[in-house]
Amino acid sequence: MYRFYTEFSCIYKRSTIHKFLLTMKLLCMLMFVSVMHVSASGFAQMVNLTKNRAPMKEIIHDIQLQTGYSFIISSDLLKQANLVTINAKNATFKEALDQCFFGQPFDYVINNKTIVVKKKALFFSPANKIQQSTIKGKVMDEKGLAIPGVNISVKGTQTGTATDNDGNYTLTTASGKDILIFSLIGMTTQEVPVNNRKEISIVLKEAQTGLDEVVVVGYGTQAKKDITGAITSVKDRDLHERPVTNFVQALQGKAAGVYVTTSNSANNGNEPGSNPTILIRGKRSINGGNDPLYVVDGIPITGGINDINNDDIVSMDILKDASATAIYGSRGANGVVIITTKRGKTGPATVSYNTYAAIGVVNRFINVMDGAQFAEYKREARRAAGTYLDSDPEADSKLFEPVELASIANGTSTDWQRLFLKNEFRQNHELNVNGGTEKTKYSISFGFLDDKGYNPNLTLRRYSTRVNIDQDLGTRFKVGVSMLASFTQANNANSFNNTLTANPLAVPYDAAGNLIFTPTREALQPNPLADLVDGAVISRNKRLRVLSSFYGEAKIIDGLTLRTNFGPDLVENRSGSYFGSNSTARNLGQSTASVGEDFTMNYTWENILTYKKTIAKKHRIDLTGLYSISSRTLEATGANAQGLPLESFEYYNIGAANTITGINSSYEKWSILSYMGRANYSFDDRFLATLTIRADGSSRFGADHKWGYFPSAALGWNVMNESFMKSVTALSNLKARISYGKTGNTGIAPYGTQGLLSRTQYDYGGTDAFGYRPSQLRNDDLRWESTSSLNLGVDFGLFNNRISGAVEIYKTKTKDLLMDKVLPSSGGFTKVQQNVGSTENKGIEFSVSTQNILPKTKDGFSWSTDLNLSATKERITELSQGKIDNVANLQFIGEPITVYYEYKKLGIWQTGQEAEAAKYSSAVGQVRLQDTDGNGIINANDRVILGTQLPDYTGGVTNRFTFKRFSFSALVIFNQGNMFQSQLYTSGNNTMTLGGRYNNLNVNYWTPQNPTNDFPRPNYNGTPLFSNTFTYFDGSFVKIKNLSLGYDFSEELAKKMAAKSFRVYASVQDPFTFAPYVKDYNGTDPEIPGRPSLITYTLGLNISF
Amino acid sequence: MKNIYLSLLLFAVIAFSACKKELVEDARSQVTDNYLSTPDGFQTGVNAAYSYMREFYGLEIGSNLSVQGTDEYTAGSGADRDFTTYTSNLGPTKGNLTTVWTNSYIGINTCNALINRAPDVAIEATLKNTRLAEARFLRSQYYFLLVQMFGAVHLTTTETKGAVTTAARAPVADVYKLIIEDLDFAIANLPVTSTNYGRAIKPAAEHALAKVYLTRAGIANDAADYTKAAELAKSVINNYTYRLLDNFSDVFAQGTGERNNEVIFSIQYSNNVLTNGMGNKTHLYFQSAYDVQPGMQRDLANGRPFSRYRPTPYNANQVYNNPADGRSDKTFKRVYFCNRPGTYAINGRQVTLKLGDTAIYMPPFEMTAAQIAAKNYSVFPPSRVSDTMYPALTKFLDPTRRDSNDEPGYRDFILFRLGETYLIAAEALLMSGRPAEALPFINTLRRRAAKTGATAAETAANKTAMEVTAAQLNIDFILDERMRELNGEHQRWYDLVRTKQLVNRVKLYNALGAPNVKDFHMLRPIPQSQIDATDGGNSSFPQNPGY
Repeated sequence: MYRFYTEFSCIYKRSTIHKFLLTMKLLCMLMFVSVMHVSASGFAQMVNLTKNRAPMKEIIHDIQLQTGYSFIISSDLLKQANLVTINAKNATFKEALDQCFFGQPFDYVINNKTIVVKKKALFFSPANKIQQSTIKGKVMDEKGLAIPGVNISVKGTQTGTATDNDGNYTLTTASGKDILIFSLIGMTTQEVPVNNRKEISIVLKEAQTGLDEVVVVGYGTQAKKDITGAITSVKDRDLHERPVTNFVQALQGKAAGVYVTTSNSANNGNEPGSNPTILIRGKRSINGGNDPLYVVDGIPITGGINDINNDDIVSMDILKDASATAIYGSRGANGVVIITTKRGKTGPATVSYNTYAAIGVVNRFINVMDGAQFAEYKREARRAAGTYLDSDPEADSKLFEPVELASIANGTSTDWQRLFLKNEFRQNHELNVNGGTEKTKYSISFGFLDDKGYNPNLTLRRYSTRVNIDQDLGTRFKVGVSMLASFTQANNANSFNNTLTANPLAVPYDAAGNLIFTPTREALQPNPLADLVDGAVISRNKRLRVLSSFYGEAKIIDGLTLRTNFGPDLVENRSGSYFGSNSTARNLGQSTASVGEDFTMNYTWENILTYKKTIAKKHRIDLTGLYSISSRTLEATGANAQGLPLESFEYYNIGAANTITGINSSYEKWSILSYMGRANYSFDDRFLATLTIRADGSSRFGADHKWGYFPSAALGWNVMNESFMKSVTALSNLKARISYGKTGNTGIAPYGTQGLLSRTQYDYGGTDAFGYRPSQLRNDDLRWESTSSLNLGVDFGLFNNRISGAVEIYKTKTKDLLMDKVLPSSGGFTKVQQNVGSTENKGIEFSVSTQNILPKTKDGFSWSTDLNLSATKERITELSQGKIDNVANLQFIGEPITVYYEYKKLGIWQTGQEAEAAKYSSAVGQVRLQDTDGNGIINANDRVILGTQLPDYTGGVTNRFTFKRFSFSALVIFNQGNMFQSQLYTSGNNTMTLGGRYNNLNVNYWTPQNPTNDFPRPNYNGTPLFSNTFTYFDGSFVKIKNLSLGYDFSEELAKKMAAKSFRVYASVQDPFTFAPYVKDYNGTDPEIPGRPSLITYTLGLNISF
Repeated sequence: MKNIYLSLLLFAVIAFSACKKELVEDARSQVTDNYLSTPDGFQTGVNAAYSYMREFYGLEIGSNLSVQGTDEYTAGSGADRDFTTYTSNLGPTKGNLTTVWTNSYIGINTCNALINRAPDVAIEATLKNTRLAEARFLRSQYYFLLVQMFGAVHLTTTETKGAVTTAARAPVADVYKLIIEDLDFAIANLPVTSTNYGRAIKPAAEHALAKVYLTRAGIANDAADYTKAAELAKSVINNYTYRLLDNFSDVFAQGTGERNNEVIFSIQYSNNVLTNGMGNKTHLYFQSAYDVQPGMQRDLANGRPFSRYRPTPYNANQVYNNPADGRSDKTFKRVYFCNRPGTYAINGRQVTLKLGDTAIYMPPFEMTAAQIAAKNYSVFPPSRVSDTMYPALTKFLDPTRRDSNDEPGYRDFILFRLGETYLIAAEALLMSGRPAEALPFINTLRRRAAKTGATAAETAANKTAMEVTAAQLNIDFILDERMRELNGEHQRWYDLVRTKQLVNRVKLYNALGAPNVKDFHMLRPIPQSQIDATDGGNSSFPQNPGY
């Protein structure tokens, strides 16, 4: 049979490399004008063909019929064909072909059973060959398999050839100084100097950004060349080279426009299983949440990203613009992360085992005072209050208690942090069995993660299994399942903060080695180490999740497929806590215990109808229709108690406690019904169009506004496929895209439209008197938050895709923000949720992958770089009262959603400035503020916007190097221009009270002898004035996030271990952080300011059998 | 093929039928607002109306807005000093003011909902009237708080049903009119006692109305109002079983003692943690940092010292000027006994303290350095008293809490007690020009306050010594007597405003407040959030002058 390449998409089912060739060959031909040297020896099949002035098309048809060979020829080329006159009787196949192609403007190459027809070189003539030297060689892939059809050209000439079936080639060149270019679409192009060699064999690597790379879009997949939206794919290798516990962590620095960071306020970035915050293209919503939607194997999930074993994931596709996300309608406004897990592949079973062990070592501690510094600070605080007289020889003995005096005398100091912290230890194991037949494919894996955090009360242990099965039933039906089950046990009590405020002059243990519970007279400061005593503190969470997706697929007629997915997602959570009397939290008070349990049942049922058709060869259409229903039901119960008679009860016998302090249960349910339609249209592979519309109905909205409609449209232009681009050889890909559409955000909690009552507590002389009072106004007018966004994108590839990437610019407008409209509280309500306010968001994203150095040989040195950079700017355009700032909520028109609005600290009032300081109701040694309006008074009007939480730009760079069997990668992430508030400096944390009571951050504070402008003078009489002003810091940083070195054992060595492949690697995570907060303020990490920072060293192993 | 089309059709049918059902919200753990119109719901609504009294009486906000910044109390080290210093920080954005404003209106709206819905609630008529009377009693209390603090406030008697963005400042007279109507209704419909201790009863409504008339009378010196106040107070004193306890400190004895013959109405707290809410936290605020002094550590009996309110020198050292008056000792704790034995540096030398030894003494008089040096304990005469170490008000201490750091307290907050009724009667009579009639009320109260002597004769002598004459009676005396009797009981700021003595007395007795206090401070600023959120802003909801 023969096909023209406009429709050759599914001709062959041979080896992958072969299919690859078929798909790529003609594009290749259009891009490279080169001489095809035919090497067709060994064809013995006889051909009988007699034609007079027949069209080439007819000839091809006849030869195909007789021989079973197929032809690939572009329709353009075919039009240029001369009429053929042939008279072949029992001619060899090659003879027949030579006759047919004689005098044609094209030539042919035979590959296996395919004949690829290519344009003839212009200046090629046999005469040129005469004095030239001949070079031979073989081209292989990374697995050592021969690659047929590789173009080999001599740089700067039109001379060239291609490899044969066995990957061999022969080429004559002008001189030994020529440079050969080996190229093949989908493979990385290599340039190799001849250097007078007679034989040159090379290894070609698969290119990272093949155009036929399949991208997972919502409800289906698409070839990358057909994509019209802004989608970033993060694949296998990028996801698995760091020892992370969840996939969100793995995304950090890997995708343009995806900002992953630890929430500064949560401060848990280096606790086991911490959930980073993820923002796709900044924030849009003020109250409705900015989390993206996660879709695992087609099923949208809610929460619990730690349940999914990162090892099971093969790719994540991040949908960013409206064209891509509009099909998720009301859940798409914040972007969509589509997660695809490993599926079975045809072939014998492959067993792979991946494991690593990691150790996290504290490299920066919080900089608090040591004993001597603390003693001096304590004195200074009293000097300032006038109660410590240096002239009094008894001053110290009046101030300090005996244990402190002893420590001062001995010069000793207790470093509570170092006593409290230990190394983190993490291990991870994953066992996967993968294989299948043509009909049945399976992938089964088991994972185990054990993470023991930096103190014994921080642990995470996860057991997970994943089973993916695909089964063909006959030719029309297909069924399958993806099932994930995970069980997680975590303990997450972290009283680390106590170590920062504990008195360094106190001692933790008495002479007999027993822990002293209250080391000083300070009754509110029990020994921080008390919480590490076994059983003192328990905060355990057990979680079981079974997330499944079952599908059935039927091909109704050619091109029309009906698929139904059913995804139940069951989550059971049990948490229990116990704080013994001897814990810091209870501080010798009665013990407390609590239990909580919640059960969540989510399900999604989707019915998808797709229709694919090519009309008149040039028009490809792909239609998708969807009906789905999604629902989530949460049931929770809990109880708290105080005064447990036995410590051994923990939280297992709460009924025996002296007092039940609380008991609760709750129920919550929401549902979404959806209809979606999508049409993809492609004309001649040049023009692409996508139209989608989704209608979502949510139970959360009032009867009149249940339904929201989210349309989008996108156009794409594959400029590269235009005929005028044929001469632009430097460009290998160029595509322009534009999309516009509307997405939504549900934004309100269930029951948000209802008029609700709140429960109150009262008591009449011992008789309980619970009550209900109006607390939420009924509001049937609430509707969806909606985001319109415009995206312009360009995909490019240069020099045969050695440089490839994309640039996106976008602008989004979000309106009808679900916000609380402030009401005059004289009505008994302070607010009502309404659709008020709007925001705007615009940005630019840039990502590029470059093959800086290509390997010249199989073991050669290679270097590649992936870089992504994004900048987003958000601003509020309207608030609940129109274009009026809401100062109370720190929301300002024209400013980003989260800003820091505060007085500006200029320095410290110095000696001699008494009078001026007094004018501003301040004093020497206190914070000097900027009098913004210059009216001589410091009041609320002097506050300014100091900064914003969102960085100006952010990004990541991954560099990879390979040499011989070694591979090395380095990930650097950076962000610039954001500000954060360090809790360590805020008054609630007690680490920066400057009151001479608790231990304090070791800051450069003002004294009459130390006239600094950094921090105010400690004063026992109270915390410094305007202490909030010194809590804000520049959040910019450059982090070397990960360095990883791997070694692949040779096949022979692997075979000795009965393995197919065997790889070992070592990595170090977070080795270097360059940040003003670290450098200038002795901070640990601008992402996790309140905790010590860790360096994690990992040793790992990948083996497959 | 037919089957496929059939199943497609089936999908569509299921889809559309599921649609309607799935999009109707299924509320189970929520309570929707029509519940309040049911008989059970109506009763719970009344409970809820009471509960907002706890948002003021028993929390720091209540004491910040009543005892601080007066001649009675000034700021301790832990205080929000703005309430004492009267600087511009005590402005329209001050959190406590917004809170009391909002919570009062939440209470009012709850009462309005009950009052509006009552006609349609199927509930037995007498019971309904009682509950309605309770709701109106409570509404009057919320409005009374508001009108005393803010003057002209928004007046509404209907339940808020939608997003209301309009509001207006009703004349003070209208607010009082509603308060009086509500209390008249309450007096007419409330029972004399209730099986549910703590519910509003008739004498409580009378006491409340007496106070309302007394306060309104202060605005224009209205004799008729004074007379009504006196009559109502007398009714409470004479018509029921209330009597003054023999021992002043028994009034605040904890436990069943809280429910004594002198208590007319109290905000209920309980040792049942499920109904106690945030608890009565007043025990925290009047204590100073005894626990860091030599020989001392924190314990339940002495309380957890938040060091919020420090008695003014006038209160601590002068107002109890009659040596026969037992109330100073029963009001302030001046001596602490060692509860952490050991050897300490005290008065410049090492002293060994045994359990129960005197560790701290804060005399109301000065001592010489030599006298101090001779003592084996820490001494804080008035000159050494500071905002971290001062005599502590004991009447709110709550040693029955579970441990010394526990914040929620269990004891009721006594809002109306007979001692005050006597003072209301006396003030009303005095102000309406009848000092002779006022005198018996004052002297009865003062005799009760006399120190118990070693002998009966000595006690009797003390009682006589406490008596005053009609000539001694004037508003200053009444105010002093109120301080002596009701020290710290969340009355003072209103007393000073009612008698227009705020500026005068703060300037005299509160050094921290003296430089800034002005006449306009007799009204609190309207919360800025109220003004900002009202359509028309400041022009439709103007700020009080001066702010």
